[in-house]
Amino acid sequence: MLPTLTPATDLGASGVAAYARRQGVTTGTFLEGRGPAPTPERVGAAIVELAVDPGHASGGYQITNAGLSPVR
Amino acid sequence: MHMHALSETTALVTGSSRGFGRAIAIALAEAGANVVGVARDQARLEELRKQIGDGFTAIVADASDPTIAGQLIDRYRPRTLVLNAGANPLARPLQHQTWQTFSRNWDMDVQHVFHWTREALLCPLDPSSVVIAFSSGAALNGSPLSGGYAGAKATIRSARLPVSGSSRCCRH
Repeated sequence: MLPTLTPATDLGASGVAAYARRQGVTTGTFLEGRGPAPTPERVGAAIVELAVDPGHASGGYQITNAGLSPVR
Repeated sequence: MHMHALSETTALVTGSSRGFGRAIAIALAEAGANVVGVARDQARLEELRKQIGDGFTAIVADASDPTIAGQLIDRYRPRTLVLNAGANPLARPLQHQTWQTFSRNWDMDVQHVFHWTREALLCPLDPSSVVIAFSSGAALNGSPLSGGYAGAKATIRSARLPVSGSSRCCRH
């Protein structure tokens, strides 16, 4: 499972803050235009989906708040 | 959406006390699984147990400990295993990392995936079991401020369990 960067966890929030600081912008500005960051609830739902049917994506699955997409 | 789809199965989640792991434990419990949550934070695990109820078993332990991996796989033989535990990397440019901070995600994330997937194969878990390990988008795009995090997560992604016969593959 390959989650994209999200401010919704402690780990993600640290990363967002660091990259925003490096770019000299607010975290809000940094996150704008990055696409929908996965929430923990969205990730939980995706895990249940995969637990029920793991599918055949040999490269793993990326998860954004829009859902799962197989990685080639 | 998947109410009771996992009824009468056991799911084990590492890094269960916060963030993604916590939400995963809740979602799996709502899908009917008996959830075993592993984390080091006893207070947060107890809170989670109060929220989920009797369907949740709290295990206070270090998920990177190989003995813990062996003991818990043997004890619970989970049908669903979610290897989510991981360290929060120190967010600094490379020259401001030490070897210890740089390698932290190898010592935690990669090591725990190594031990748990090995134990899953040795047990062996039932061929219909599903093992999901947490890599990161950083494995594809890099993360220059995160020390060894991106490389560690790329290693987790590249470690795939072997398929045996017609059994389901364990996916990373």
